[in-house]
Amino acid sequence: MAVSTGAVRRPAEATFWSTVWEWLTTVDHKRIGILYFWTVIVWFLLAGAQALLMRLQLARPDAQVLTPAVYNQLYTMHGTAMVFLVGTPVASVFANMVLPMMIGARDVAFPRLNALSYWIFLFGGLLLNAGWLAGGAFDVGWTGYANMSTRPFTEGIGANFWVMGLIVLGFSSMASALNFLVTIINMRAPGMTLMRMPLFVWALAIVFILVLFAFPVLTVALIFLWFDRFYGTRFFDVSAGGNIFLWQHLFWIFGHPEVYILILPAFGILSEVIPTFSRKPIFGYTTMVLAMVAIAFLGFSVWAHHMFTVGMGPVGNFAFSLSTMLIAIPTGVKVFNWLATMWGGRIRWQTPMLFAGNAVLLFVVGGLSGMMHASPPIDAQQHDSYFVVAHFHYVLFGGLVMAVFAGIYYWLPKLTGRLLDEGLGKVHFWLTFVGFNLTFFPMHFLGALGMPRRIYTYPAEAGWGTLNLLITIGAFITAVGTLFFAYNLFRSLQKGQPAGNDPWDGRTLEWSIPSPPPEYNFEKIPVVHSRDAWWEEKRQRRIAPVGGGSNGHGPTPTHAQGHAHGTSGGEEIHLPKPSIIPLILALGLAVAGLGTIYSRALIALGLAITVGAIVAWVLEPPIRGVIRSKE
Amino acid sequence: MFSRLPLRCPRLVGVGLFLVIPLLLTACTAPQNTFAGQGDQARTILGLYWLLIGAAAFVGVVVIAMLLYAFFRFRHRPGAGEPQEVHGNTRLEIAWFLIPTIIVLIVAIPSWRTIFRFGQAPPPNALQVQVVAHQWWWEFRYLNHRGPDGNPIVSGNELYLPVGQPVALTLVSSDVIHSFWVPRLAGKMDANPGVTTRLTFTPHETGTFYGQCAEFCGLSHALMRFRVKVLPAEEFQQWVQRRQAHTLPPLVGDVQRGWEVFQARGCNACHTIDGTSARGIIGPNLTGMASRDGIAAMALPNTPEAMARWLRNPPAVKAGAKMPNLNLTDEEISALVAFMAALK
Ligand code: HEM
Ligand SMILES: [Cu+2]
Repeated sequence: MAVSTGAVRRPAEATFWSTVWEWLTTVDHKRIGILYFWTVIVWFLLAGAQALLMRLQLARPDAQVLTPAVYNQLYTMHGTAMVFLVGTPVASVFANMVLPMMIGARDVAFPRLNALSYWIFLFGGLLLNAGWLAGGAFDVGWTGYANMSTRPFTEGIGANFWVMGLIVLGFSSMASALNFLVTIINMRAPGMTLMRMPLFVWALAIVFILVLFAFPVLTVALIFLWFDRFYGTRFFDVSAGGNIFLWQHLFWIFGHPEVYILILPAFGILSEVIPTFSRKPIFGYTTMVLAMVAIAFLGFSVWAHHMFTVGMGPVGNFAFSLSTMLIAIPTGVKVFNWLATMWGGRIRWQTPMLFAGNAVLLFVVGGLSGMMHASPPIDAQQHDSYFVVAHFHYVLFGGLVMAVFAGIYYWLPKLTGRLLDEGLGKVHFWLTFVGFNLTFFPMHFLGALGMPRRIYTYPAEAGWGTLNLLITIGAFITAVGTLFFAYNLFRSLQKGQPAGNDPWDGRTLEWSIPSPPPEYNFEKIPVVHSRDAWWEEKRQRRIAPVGGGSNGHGPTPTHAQGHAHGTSGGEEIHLPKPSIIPLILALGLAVAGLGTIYSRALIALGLAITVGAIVAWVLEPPIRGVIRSKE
Repeated sequence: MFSRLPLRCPRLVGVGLFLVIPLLLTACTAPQNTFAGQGDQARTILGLYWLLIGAAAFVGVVVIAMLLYAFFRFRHRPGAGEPQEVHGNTRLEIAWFLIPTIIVLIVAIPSWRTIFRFGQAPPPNALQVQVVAHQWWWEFRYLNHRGPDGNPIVSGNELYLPVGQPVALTLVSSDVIHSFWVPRLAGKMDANPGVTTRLTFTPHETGTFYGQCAEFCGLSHALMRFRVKVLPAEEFQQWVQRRQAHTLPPLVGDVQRGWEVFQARGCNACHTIDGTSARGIIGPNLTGMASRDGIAAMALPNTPEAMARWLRNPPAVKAGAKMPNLNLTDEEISALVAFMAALK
């Protein structure tokens, strides 16, 4: 049996540079997951800091903390980063961290493509934000409405970085989506039929399908905008026959499915964490799957509910109101199923479950306010007001980010081998819970009192001062909570309790292997006979104990797979070959992207690197070697 | 004349249900409160709003109560055995489906009826006003009321309306997308370049109503505010007649000097003053400037000091303002301030 390199465990003889090299060339999904994870955490902290600056400016009427130019850049880049650099990659973060293990696979279908997705994500994010250093970031909102974002109205270079950054990031999302779809379709362990897949895997599969259909639309819109900005086309210029609504339609045809790209991974996480900590199987598995499929399908038919006030006329408003309200139904189904899962359970309130239960609660609030603006007459009062800001933070922060915290406390120990600290986790939870609600609940009222979003200042006579002050206080409480989280992450890497294989008495296959798992995850590919495969196996063993697998801490993995479920005899394990080429290819794309803004020579250089990397990629053998597992 | 701000706070008890005291403290003094509708559209929306709040609060309270109950009731207690493995229940799952469907129908049907009601053509007696949105100010053109030159009367950043008469706004933008929003009179409607949209409503009370651009439109989007002044019908007629017969104010002293500066320094290239040779159309019409509530779409209050500040360097007061710094001298500024104050 070859030496196993854990996800983050360093071999004793490693030097600093060899470790760096290992990370730069890794094609192991777990390590790529860790890279994604830290990158997303950093963007989350940066975008959060931007939000705090905004809150300082808004705390009092007529404040002069920030200039309007800076405020507009902050709100734009805060939103852009939270959506494209935090929310969107959540699917890839968790897909990398755990998905192959959950389906009993040794890796993803295309390990090098996986590394490529990450490196493009990294460089794309930097490109997207490069405007900050080059004279000013984009300042038209994360929705980048044209014609506001065309040259006559937004000359700044930040817009170019924003457009090119998003085009580049689109490649990352699509490559990742394709890779994981193939992985889910082709690499499930024997016996894991579609209807035995963990709901988390279902959720991600649906997300990746959404990505494949939605992102190309955004890319098209961005290319139109790019052409308007650079090559004299007039897609968005009404005076030359362009269409002022074209951007909004294209953007939201992408943008609304994007909302589900953001929230479905959260649904997936909740559907794993809640059963585990309630010690019950998920209630209504089939309806959960159907609900997600329905949400994804309907999600493509509701885009113009972001446009109820553009003057579409009653028929358009009616149609999109209808489809939007329909989405409430499958969403309601999901909430009730989670509730029924907890009902009659034995809920252990450890940190992952605190965040998960809370995410359901807050998501309900966000869903209900969403129901309100599905009614176009009401939306006429709520649209572009702080009510909407309250709504989408309840969904994105209350629903998504809280679920992501749950997922991190739950799964990160699998990869690092160390638990996050429960005490710090609880402090993090309560500060976040209190701070979050103090920040975002009052925003509903600000909206009701007529405060528009995206304004850098307001006069005292508007009567919004008190609420805004409260909100700013709430934001800082949330920020303190986040600091506890960050501290917890760093601390537990060094001092965390050893996690053991199965710290939560889990239900799915990733808990059957060591933490951190060996590079190839499973020494023997498990054979699956039911949903909650690992739970069932533990239960059978409880009935007829073999080798003393005790409740709470599963037996050693060799035991687990040796018993009943492994195919007999040694198995061939193909080890993918680490490769620097994905990094170089991504770098080539980024250089070319930079070139589109600065110089043709740079484009040529970037494309040369890209093409060279593609050739090398094709020639490079993908497999490092084959080992045989011992029987 | 506009001293009575019709701020009524009915139903705040209902909002109090939402447990937020700060709202109670601020609502009565918040002039853009969507819950204090004074126009037919805003009130219709409000009725619907309460229905949806009621439904949402009901669902929210029930679901959250059930969640909280489950959180506490089914928490792990030492010594408790393993829970029963329940995989689902077809009847319950059908119920999950039916409950949201019913609630959706309850809120959807009145919503959809309202959509079509708002979509109706404006009544024939409606006052026709064209709204032209600019970065970052508002132009209102009274299509039923024309000046001596045959062109509609125009006002800047303040919309004058007669109470009780429907008004049919046609909205358009001269540059980027804006959105016209007077929360207490009606829901918002975008003003798009090149495409006309409509908004029809009837103000039910006289008074001053606060409005603001609601669609991000660039650097000074936050300072694109305006006022709607709803007058008794006769006063509105008097206002129209005053505007139609407007000429230069008596040119004495500083006012005389101000008018000279106005022409000499090119103010008239961008601004119109009715009944004079100043016919610029790049900036807001300045007729009646003295009676405005604010300067530069409410970026500043309308005081002599603020006016002087504005004239000294407009983009410094309002970032990106399309009115340039004309490098006026102190003497020119004080003459202009006097002139503006004479534009009644
Ligand atoms: C402490 C945490 C946070 C605070 C205090 C905060 C605050 C804010 C504020 C003040 C705005 C600008 C409103 C405006 O000027 O119109 C905003 C916008 C936004 N936020 Fe957050 N936010 C937080 C976390 C998040 C998270 C976690 C997400 C998503 C995952 C998020 C997504 C957005 C988006 C999409 C926008 C809209 C940007 C735009 O209008 O273009 N925020 N937030
Ligand atoms: Cu505007």
